[in-house]
Amino acid sequence: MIDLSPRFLDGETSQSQKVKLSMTEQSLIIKSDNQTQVLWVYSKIFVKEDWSGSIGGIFGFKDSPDAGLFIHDRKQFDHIQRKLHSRHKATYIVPTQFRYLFLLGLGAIAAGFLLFPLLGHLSSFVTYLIPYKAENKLGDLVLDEISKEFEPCEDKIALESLQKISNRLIPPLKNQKIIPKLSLHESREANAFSLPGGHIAVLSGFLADAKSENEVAAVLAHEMGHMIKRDSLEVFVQSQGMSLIISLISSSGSYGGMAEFVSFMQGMNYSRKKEFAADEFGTQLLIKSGYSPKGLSAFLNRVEEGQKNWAGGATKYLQFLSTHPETKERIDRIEGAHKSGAYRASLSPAEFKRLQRACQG
Amino acid sequence: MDAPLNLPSKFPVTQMHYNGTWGQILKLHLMNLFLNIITIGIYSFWGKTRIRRYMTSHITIGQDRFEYTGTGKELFLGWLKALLIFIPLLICLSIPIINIPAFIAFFGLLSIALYLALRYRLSRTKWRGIRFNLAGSIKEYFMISIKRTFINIVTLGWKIPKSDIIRWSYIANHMSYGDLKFSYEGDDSRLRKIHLMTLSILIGAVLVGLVPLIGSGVMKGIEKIEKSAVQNEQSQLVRGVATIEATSSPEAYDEDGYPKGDEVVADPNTGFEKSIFIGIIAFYALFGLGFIGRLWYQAALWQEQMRGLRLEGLRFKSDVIGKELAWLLITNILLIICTLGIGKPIAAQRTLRYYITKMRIGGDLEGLLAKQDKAHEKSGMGDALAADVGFDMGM
Repeated sequence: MIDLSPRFLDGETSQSQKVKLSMTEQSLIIKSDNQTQVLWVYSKIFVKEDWSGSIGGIFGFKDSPDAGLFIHDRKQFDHIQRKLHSRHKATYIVPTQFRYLFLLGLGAIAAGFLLFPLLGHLSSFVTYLIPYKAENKLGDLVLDEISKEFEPCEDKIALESLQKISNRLIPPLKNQKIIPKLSLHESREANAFSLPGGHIAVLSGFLADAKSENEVAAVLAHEMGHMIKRDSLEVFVQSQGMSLIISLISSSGSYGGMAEFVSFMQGMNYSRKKEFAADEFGTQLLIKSGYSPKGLSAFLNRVEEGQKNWAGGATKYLQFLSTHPETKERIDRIEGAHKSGAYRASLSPAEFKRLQRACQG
Repeated sequence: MDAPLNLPSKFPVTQMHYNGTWGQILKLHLMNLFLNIITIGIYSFWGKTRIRRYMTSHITIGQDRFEYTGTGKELFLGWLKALLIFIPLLICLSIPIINIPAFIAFFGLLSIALYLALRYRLSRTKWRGIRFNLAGSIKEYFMISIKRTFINIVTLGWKIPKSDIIRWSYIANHMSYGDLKFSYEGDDSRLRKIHLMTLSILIGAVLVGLVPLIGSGVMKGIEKIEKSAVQNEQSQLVRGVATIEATSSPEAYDEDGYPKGDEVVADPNTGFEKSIFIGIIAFYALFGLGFIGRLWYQAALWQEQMRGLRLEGLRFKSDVIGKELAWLLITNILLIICTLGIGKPIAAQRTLRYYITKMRIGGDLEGLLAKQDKAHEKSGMGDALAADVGFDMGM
């Protein structure tokens, strides 16, 4: 049988005393052996531990913070609690009731909507402040990381051909502060990345998938668009900011999984605006260099087809899809701006075939 | 409240209880998550405190609840201070040469994480209004940790039980409840048999798991040598062809601008990737089994840590067993996976509940007379540093 009588601990020793309580308008009188032990005024009493089922609740007193009044009778607890100042009625400010959870959930969604654009603007500003020298160093570090994931490939013939295509695209960029540096990596994925410091990493899977030199030039021009706008650096800054926030959000140690998932999703792609801007830049660069923007739309069309056919080609384009959203709209824009597929090739058919077989030794 | 005895009958035995509910802890975590998002993470320190407070205050001995008196402000300030140490350390870790001492410092921090976290949390925990405390010196504990780690390595793991007992001994002999000191006398010989058995299983599982991985690696090496030989021949051939077709002729391309000719052959790496994937899966599965086996040692260690612990006339006993720990771990992992991480607080609570309900205290608890000791103002920095190196005690 559980003893429901209140117990008092003076905070000086671990010995508790069974007490009787009497309440006046202003104070709570704690009596032991019919003698007044202490007198607590309501304005200084606070809930030390909230009421919880079979284990009761504890009241404390501001002037002697180690002391505690243990109550095991719910009615008695509620009775005292009613007399307290609203700030002292619980250990928390916001109770865990469903209506508050619902309101906070709505608030969190609203905050999320505000946070993303705000972080985007802040990242653009910070990126603008980063000197090119620092970007180059960061680029080298990122390339090292990429090389761990996609093994670098020392196919000199393929690299020469890639460089030949790139050299035709470079002259219109002569006034820019970053010049593209190409690297080739072994992978079955059909993709290419623009990294900080002008590094453009081309995956062999993309070359194997390319149907013409024009397509290779188009994807390089698109990546150069990201390079000129320092998009990868901006995304890096943005992801670092987001990581900090995510680590704070998840530091309660309980929803790390969900937070990491959100962080992963966030870090995966360039914004829609950046993709369109890189397409536009790439289109102009291709026209100036004697290539056709149709190469980009042709490649994107294949990606779009792959998207529809999960059982078949989708896995090949999975990486590309995860880093480049809005495929259909991009195709429409590119094809709307330029119809002709004619271009002047730099590689012979044999050189192009060899490029397609890059890293296949 | 009293449980059946396994101690001499003259001792009254009291079982510890955990009274938290999964619904409440889930609601608390959801609330923290929302508030963290709204405050861009700043609330996390207060949220963490609320969770700790909930969990601690729902542990009872007899009718008496534990109290947690730490505050969010302490954790926040501790985190700011910890950043001053942790950020330069992280930067140093990425700089060659400097990263060697930085790694040692990081490892040192890792080895004292338990001590740092426990020191802060005990100083903020009360029972019957009396504070716990962990005295001792960080430097001493650090030296013990480094020395014992070195011995563990040199003896190929043979001395792990002794090292674990020595580390715990330092902590337990510096713990106090008010003015009463805890004492601990351990016996690592009780752990040797289970340690050797579970360590052998772990090492055996890792070695067996490595076989398919090494096999795949060797295959890859052979393939590479063969490939490079073929590549040399092919590149010379292609150069010859390229010289003949030196300029691009319009006839070589179709009307869409695509070159006429063969499709590109399928990637020969597919088979290798499949075998290495199976190798990795097999390695992790066997490593997982070996790791689960080590839980039997963890259970025995925890039992031993409690068996030798004393506080005045009080004795402690834990009935944690390996089989139940393994079941707890597996079900917790499944719970976390199936709920996409949302169930993590419930898993943490299940673990806490298990350890608490397996604890029994023998001796006259009612007669225990501890006097309040002076407050030891430990900042939240130690707790934050421990969390930075990934040690969060599940709370």
